[in-house]
Amino acid sequence: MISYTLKRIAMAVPTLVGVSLVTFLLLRLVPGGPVQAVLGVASTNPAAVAAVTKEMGLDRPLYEQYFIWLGKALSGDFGMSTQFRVPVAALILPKLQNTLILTTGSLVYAVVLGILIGVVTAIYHRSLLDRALMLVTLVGASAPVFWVGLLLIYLFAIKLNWLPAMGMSSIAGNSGPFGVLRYLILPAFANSIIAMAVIARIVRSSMLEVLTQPYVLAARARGLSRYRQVVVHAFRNVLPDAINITGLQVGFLFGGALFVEVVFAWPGVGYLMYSTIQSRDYVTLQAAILLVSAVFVLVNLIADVARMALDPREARA
Amino acid sequence: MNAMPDPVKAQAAKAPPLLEVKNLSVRFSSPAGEVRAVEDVSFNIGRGESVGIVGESGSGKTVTCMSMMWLLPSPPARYPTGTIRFKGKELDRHREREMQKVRGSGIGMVFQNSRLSFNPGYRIGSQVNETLRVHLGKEWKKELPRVIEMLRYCNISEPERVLRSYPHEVSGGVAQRVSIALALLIKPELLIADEPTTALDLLSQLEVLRLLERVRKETSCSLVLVSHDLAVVRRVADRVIIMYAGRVVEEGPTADIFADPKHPYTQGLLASTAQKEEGERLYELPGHPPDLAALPQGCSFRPRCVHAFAKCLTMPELLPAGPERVARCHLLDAGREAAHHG
Repeated sequence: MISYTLKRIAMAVPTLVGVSLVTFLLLRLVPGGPVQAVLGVASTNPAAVAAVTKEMGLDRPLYEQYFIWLGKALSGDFGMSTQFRVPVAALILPKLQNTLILTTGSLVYAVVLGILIGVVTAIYHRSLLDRALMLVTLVGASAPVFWVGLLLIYLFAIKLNWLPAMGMSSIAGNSGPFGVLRYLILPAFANSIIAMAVIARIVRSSMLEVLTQPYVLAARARGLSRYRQVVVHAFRNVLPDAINITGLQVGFLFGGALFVEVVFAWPGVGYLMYSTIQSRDYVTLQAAILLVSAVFVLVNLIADVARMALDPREARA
Repeated sequence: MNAMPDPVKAQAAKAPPLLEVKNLSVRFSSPAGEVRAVEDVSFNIGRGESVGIVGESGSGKTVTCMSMMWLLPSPPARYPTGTIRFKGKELDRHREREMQKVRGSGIGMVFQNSRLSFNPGYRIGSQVNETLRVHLGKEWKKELPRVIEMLRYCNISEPERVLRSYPHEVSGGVAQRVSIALALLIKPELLIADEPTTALDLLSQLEVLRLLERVRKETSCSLVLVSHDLAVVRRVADRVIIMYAGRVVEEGPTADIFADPKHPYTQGLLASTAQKEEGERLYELPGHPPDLAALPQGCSFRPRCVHAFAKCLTMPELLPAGPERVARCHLLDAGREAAHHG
């Protein structure tokens, strides 16, 4: 188990190095090059260009530039945002927190509803309920998230006036951490739908397979209740699959946040990235991509290790 | 019509048999058509009796056993006819709660591959405890010393270590004996063992077989032993039921059937397992068991039967074939003189 964890961490390192390389090169590939990117598109002041060239070490070989940039990034220095004129780290971290709140909210929806739908449809396999739920998840997963988002806003915020249409209250604000929940309900749900559908389908097929296993029949033969057969015995062996697919979905929930944050004006990294792309604030965008990628890799790592820990057969393999 | 033999006949005349299977039919839908897995099967199991059910794969013996405690999920299984009575009381397959009480505590079951019948995600001990808890309620912890005792009885040399193990960490033979121990812990009145030795190596087979013999001799528990292996059944069973293509084709006391099989199928089975001189070819039953979705007209064994004649195009009834014996063959009928069996 420990050796697997170490091996898995070792495997994550090349991925992270690759991501950092690509992100590093992003700034070099921008039209006009890194100087233009750092100074903003309009600047042509030769003195400023020279200063930035020297400050970023652009006169040195590319590999040296990479290590200088990486060293700074690892110590939390991502440079200055060209749009907001503040250090990128100070800009991104609060936004990252907001994105994590949205991602966590979406994850809760996706896991709870996804597993519930998956288990129920497997138990009532081929029934009307099974078919109906599978159809709904298929349609939900196929609909673009910004369209679903607008629909939700129209129904719950405008027509019924139950929930706020957009934005987010500050966690430190008057309404406190729980005040945020009201703002979270709609965007988190909109963001969760695809992951929910994917989890539901994986859990359903995994559950259908597990329910035919001899040990479920044996549990029934020992006089165990239907609940124990399904929840204690069958679901225990669906868990590794469920955790696996959930781990992968967290990454996509992050990605989905980009769109959802724009639709719901949620002040997270996605919304920030959207505005940095519009204003060509490449330095901030670079840092945002690096952080999001790192979180993606980390989450998959945690999911893999958790899956191993939960499956004794694999833990000893 | 059912000349049901019973070794404790005098007693059985008053008390109902432990288990009565009556007109049991089980069907499944398949793309090839309706599969008639079990057709109109009836038999009794007496108290303390040990009965062997023998047949090839697809003969319906496993489906019959599982239906004895309504274990098969329905759908896919369908039960057009059939009642099961346990201690004189009919088991209603729609009453899941009542069935849960019978399963495990009234009727215990042991499966072919016991390693697969333990959940791979939990330690064996926790699955033993779970079963105790479900059947004994709050009192279950008092029974824990009995668990070790029972495991030792079933020849498990290191019971504590086995209880701490996951199913994949023990051998098939150990898993099989643990599952027998677990079944016996709840003190069932009937133990069904479905091919308990088939998946095991020879040494483990012998150990399991000895254990089953011991259970038969030392406990009052009735035993149903399902096997395709006549030698196994011969060792443990008082009475044998031979199944073919979902039907009972012969039934009677073990010794009598082995000495003088009446049904051509039983004769073929015995001939194919008989000890032969070196170099002599083992007898082989010609042909294959029929497709249960497209059974032949009349007697299901007709296409493979060396004695088949015109009358075999109609399904024979179970006919008396000696004391406490029945067989499903027209040869036993009025035209006994036409029989060339033996």
